[in-house]
Amino acid sequence: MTVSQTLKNNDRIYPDYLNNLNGSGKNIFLVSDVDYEGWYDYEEKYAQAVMNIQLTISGSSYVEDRIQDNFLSKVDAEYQIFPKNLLGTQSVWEFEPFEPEYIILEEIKRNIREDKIELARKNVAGALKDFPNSERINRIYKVLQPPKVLSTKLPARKSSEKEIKWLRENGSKYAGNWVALYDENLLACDPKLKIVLREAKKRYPLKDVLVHFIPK
Amino acid sequence: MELRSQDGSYWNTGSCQFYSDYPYGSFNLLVAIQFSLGKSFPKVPGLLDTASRWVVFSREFLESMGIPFIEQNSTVEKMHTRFGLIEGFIDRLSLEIVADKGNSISIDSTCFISQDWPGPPVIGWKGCLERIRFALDPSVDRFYFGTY
Repeated sequence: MTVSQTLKNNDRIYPDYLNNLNGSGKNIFLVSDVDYEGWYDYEEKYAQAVMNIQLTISGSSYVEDRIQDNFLSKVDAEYQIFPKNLLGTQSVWEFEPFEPEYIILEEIKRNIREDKIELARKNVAGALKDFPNSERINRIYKVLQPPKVLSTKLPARKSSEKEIKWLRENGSKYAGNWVALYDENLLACDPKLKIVLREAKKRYPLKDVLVHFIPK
Repeated sequence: MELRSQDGSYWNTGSCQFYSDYPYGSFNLLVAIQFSLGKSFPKVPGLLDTASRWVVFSREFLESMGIPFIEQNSTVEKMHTRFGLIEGFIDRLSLEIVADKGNSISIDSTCFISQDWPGPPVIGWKGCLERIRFALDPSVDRFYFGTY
């Protein structure tokens, strides 16, 4: 299949766009004969999305720039070799169009990875208008909301100064364990936090207890 | 001692001791504060880290505490840490910054939950600290906090 379209910077590639190119719901492109099982299993849809970008604009200088600038730095080193190998090779691979909401989710994930959280919040709010029934977009919209102070009137608790002093002086003896402390008293010690909590609450309300894991 | 604004109102709602150079295995937590996952939950030292994207918890920690979280419909997130690239997902959890003077505050926070995270709980910037007012006084090792 020959595709002569060149995408502009920041164009989003949707299945509809691909479908318009060849008039079908399934697209066949010239791609490399690579063993894609490894990365396919690794992160199936991400790789698929990348492949769409790659294949649709194969031959354009934009391809390399886009991959170089916006993709290669985002994936593990072992996967970075794949898109470059793909260019100019002559095997055929077939795929179903991906869901458009997935591309948006990938963009939001990229925003997050680049610590552009405000942009991610803005993008997910926009995506919610386009996909109000998407469970995944609704969920990420919810979790990305700015933090909210729920209460400022919760009672103070006892200081942990004595417990911390104890930990500084004795903690290394209990490496590999969770410990529960009340003042200088070791209430429980075990590699399993559940066991420590169970033992500690037999002696004091848990809210007054300090628990801490001491790594080896 | 609590802090006051220029107009005389309280600047903070509570404060607690912070612990500097707090040993954590082969690392030191530069600044640790005590937090809790709810009013009936124990206090836990956490690393105060304004350079951390999210609040970070190990999955095992939350499961052991009996804290419900939702993984369904979450997308896999990755985060670069001092322990390398780790995978997890984000969810909203309520956490309490525990005062030993004044009042504690609870914050509905965005938390990164990872099976791979070997470090301490982290109280990070986005999703938590970005919406509270806080100050550190190293002369008395106090962490002051409140809303604005």
